[in-house]
Amino acid sequence: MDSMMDTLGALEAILFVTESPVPTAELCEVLELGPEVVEPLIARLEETLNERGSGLTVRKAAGGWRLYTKSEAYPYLERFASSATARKLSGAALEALAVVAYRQPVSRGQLSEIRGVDSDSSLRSLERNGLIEEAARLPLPGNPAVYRTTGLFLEKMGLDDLSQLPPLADHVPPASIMDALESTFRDPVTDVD
Amino acid sequence: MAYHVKTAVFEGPLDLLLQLITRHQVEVTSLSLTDLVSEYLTHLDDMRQMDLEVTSEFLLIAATLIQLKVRRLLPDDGEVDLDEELALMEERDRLLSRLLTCVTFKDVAAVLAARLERTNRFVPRSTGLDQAITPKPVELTMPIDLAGLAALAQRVMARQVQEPDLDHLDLELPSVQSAIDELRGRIADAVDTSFEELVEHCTRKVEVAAYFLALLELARWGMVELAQEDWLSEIEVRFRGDAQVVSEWTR
Repeated sequence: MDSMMDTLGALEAILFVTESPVPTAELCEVLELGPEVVEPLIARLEETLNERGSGLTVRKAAGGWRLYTKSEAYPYLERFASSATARKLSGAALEALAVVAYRQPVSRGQLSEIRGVDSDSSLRSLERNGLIEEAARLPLPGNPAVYRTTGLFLEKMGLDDLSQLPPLADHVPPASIMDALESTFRDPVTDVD
Repeated sequence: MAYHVKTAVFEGPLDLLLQLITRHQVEVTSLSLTDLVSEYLTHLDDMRQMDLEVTSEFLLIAATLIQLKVRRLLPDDGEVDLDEELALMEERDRLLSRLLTCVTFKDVAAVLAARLERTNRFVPRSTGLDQAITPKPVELTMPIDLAGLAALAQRVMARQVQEPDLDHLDLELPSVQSAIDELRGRIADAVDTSFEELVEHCTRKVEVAAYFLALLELARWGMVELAQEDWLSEIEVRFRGDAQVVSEWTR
């Protein structure tokens, strides 16, 4: 099992130095091993870290693997890790992010239509934070850009890919809100059928 | 409440509408369209008074609301234009669906925010490969000791003092040709000298450069031998004998 230990060490070393999640395929290529070996190896690394009470753990995000500090270690990291002190996104930016995530690729106009408010500054701040990016330009007057989410978005969300986004259908408003809306706007007395 | 501060805590007309409607819903009273319209318009007035921009989006929705309200005030006696009626209903349904979409995304945004917060507690290393693959500076053996460094610093700083010599600003560049001519005479007399000595009289860097080029030319012709022990020491110049050379410089 000596060579197994070596590859385990190599895997740990790779994940230690890489700055973004590394896909399994890339790990296979570098370690010159098949996924049937590499995948258990990743699981083994996670176990090993847990067993020795490490402050690190392996997580899958954005289609790859990366070493993270355990969430229990978070309170100790504020001074050292920039992401531990990262500024929170505003409510407006979060809403814009949600729309881009589910409706991508989406233009600024479409986004504003959904939110009922101009979303330019939200888009710019999301773009600056690397959570969204320009996907293309539409062949329309003014060549508006359409936006999509980035790999960093997936990583920050703890998602492997976009299919893991919680289904939008689970978030349609509850019946009580639907009723309130309907009863205000659809007065059966005046409605024509 | 004795003191009532009205603040625009809503974001856009859809948000305002949703707040008005859901607030009543919390109070278990249903909001009539008439009340909704008047509350909505009151907010628009407040916004104007607070010099907040009332965007066209606000006005567009206000128009739809007022149209809906007016329609209800009209007697339902079959005298209505059906096309107009249908268009209004379409507009109403569109508004309703926009509100529902808006609520949906607000809700899912909250979920994403929670995820973001949870994931944020797992901190990755923020330095790594990029730095690791950047070539490290090549290991050097220092070509200079402390005393040498001090001497060098002194020389560099002394040079700097002379630098702002604006009086000599002219466009007349020193000629390499005349430097060659002059050097040929001087070196023959001096036999052993140094570059530093030869350019002692120069006040400008361009002159020194001209002399340097001249000296290189002389060395090429074999009239002088140049030597320098290391890059800090003087450039020694030794006269080897004048030669009759035909070159671009000797015409």
